[in-house]
Amino acid sequence: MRGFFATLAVACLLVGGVAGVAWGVQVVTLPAPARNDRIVAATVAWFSRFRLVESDFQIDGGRLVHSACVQGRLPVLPGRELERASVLVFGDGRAVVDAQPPLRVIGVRRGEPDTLPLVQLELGGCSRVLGPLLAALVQNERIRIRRTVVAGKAALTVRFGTPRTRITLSFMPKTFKPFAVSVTSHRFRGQARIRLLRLTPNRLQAILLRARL
Amino acid sequence: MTGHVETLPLLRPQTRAVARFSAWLREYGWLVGWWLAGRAVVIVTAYVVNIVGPSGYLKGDLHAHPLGLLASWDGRWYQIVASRGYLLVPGSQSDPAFFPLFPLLLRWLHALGIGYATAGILISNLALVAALFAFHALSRELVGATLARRATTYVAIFPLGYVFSMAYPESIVLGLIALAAFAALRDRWILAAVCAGAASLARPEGLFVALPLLAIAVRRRQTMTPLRRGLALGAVAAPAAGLAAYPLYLAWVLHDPLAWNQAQQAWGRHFSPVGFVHAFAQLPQAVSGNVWVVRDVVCLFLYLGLIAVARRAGVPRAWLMAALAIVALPVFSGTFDSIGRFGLLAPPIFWGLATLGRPRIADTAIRVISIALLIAATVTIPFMYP
Repeated sequence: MRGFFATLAVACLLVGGVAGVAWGVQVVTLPAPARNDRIVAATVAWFSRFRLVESDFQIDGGRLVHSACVQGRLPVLPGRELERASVLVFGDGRAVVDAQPPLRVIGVRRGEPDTLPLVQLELGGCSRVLGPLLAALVQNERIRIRRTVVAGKAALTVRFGTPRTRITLSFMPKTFKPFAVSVTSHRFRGQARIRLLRLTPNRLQAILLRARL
Repeated sequence: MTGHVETLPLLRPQTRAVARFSAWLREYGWLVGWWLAGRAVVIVTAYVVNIVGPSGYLKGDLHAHPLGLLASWDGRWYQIVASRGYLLVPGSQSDPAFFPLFPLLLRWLHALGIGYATAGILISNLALVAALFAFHALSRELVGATLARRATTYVAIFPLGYVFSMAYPESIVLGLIALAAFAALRDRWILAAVCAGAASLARPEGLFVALPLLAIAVRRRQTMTPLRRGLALGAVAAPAAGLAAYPLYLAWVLHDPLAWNQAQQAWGRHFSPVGFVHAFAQLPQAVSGNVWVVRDVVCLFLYLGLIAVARRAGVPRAWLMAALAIVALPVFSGTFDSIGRFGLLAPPIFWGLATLGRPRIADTAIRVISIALLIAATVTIPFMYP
């Protein structure tokens, strides 16, 4: 019996030693992620959690537009099920469909500059548009976050870009939940207030019915 | 006579060192030669692709370093971990999917002033020569000298072995697995525990070295003292301890011990009992997305065949089980991706191949085809991750 306990004690000691050293070496050697990286990762988490974003935006000081952006596997085109599509539906039923990354826009009206739908998708707060851009930012660049006030609210902001637009995303200082976006391209400038909402089957049906696809 | 006594101490150490070196060279020169040959093939090909080849999906990564090809794909993620630490980005591909031993080594070498990409390539290539020695020593114990020599040569020039020159941890893990088992065979259980723990801290496949360690421990249990039995038991459990140290670290640094699992899901891997059904069901779609997936499917069946050959050659059952787990379990994550690379960590695959190479003509054919495929596979790096 003593032999058994001696065996067990030695085994536990060796296993504990291996685990302890393996854990300790990581703690001592690897850097902890930067605070700004963590904050932006938390913002990406908000975008990955919500598949419906409602937005009120203005472009170039024009009229206020209300929109709803839904994401996911959506039956938006006849006979075709799009994987990871984003559908941005405006109050009047017009819609922009972003079929797959990298951004490809279906539904651009003839004669309309193709940057406009891109700006609209970004101002619409589409989570599968803004989320991956933010995620790429975390992984590729040093992030700068600024404290500011947006629409009378204390906010943190982060700036990032696509080849055609510059985006400033504002989020709450404590929860890191995004609530405002501004987008600038060489032709357009817009601001939006966004709300992340849970996408229920009823909401999805109502939005797709409203859309003129 | 007096003259002899005075001159011998001056000459002897040099003579002895030269004699020892030439004896070592006679015994292991072939191993170093094949290592050099295999690595030269990969490095020269990678350099040529860097200069004149297509950049495929890699684009900027390719030209950031003269051997950018070898620091690409996962190599880039290991560099991110080494330089910035782990960060889980929910819903996106992020670095907790990559185990920590390789980034640790990158960071240590970087502290000496070497860039991360260079450090990664240097570590994996140098680790391979150590791995070849360990693999040869283990193989000699298990399958005999002739087969061991042939199997070690095949490791050095294996077509998928370009990964051993990339900034990936595969060469380290192969070496640690072989050294852990060799140490256990020599009754050096503490060394076995350290190597096995380190192997599973580098790649999850390191866990499966527990099977051969367990078999060795069980076979020798009657002749062991309680202390030695404890050490053996500890060595068998060490891979699990090494593996557990990673989620414990993630819990400490990210407050999420399951960050690895979440990151794996974002990479399209999700283990389930029916995962292999999904893998086969989604194969046509995967092939239409990227035709190179066929390479991994072919590798899976080739590896299973070689494991069967190894079984007929008398390779211990515990090793076969470990190899099967390494090759077949990833299919349960719903994809065939990277199985070709995972198989590099299963020694029985090389023992099986060495068995097939018994006839001289087969041996020559395997060597020639391997080198040709090694060049071709290196050229494909920009188009498909290993």
